[in-house]
Amino acid sequence: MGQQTTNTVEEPLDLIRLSLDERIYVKMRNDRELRGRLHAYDQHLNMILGDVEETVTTIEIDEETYEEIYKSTKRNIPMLFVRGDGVVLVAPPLRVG
Amino acid sequence: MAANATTNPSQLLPLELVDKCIGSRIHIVMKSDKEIVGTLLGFDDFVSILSKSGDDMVLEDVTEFEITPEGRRITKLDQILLNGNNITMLVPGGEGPEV
Repeated sequence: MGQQTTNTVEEPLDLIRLSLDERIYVKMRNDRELRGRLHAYDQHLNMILGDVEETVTTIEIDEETYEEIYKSTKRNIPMLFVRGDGVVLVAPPLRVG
Repeated sequence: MAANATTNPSQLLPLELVDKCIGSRIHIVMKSDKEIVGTLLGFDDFVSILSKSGDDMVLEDVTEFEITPEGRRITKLDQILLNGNNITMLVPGGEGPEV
């Protein structure tokens, strides 16, 4: 069960390894997004994130005009565990503007 | 559970954090608009192929929150076994959504 550390990028998970201790953006199923500091991950993409902002986006349909209203709800969570099967993508944080 | 050969050995594994949470309050966010707060008694992890569908959890003194209908609360006491398939996030020590 020897574990070795390597600095080269050999597989997709190595790209996530490069983001350890950095802030990342995580897009999840069910219209959730997380922005937080990556503390740990495993091969299932289970992750531990710190100092997290969670954004949940919902679409409401106006019953009269039938227009789509996008609403997002944010909350801050100091530390959490993310279950890997809900993760869609992992990336460095998006810079707006 | 074996880590990848390329994983840093001094890194804390995610499931180790959950293990440290045993005995404390935990707030679980489900894939649907439901959240559960309780005291974590234990969890399992079917190793290898089944591990993705594993991670059932046993909780006690549980409160269940549904988000959409203005944070309605359903309180269940005693113990529950929560199927891990629908878990999205775990917040150690969390107390649930503010209502």
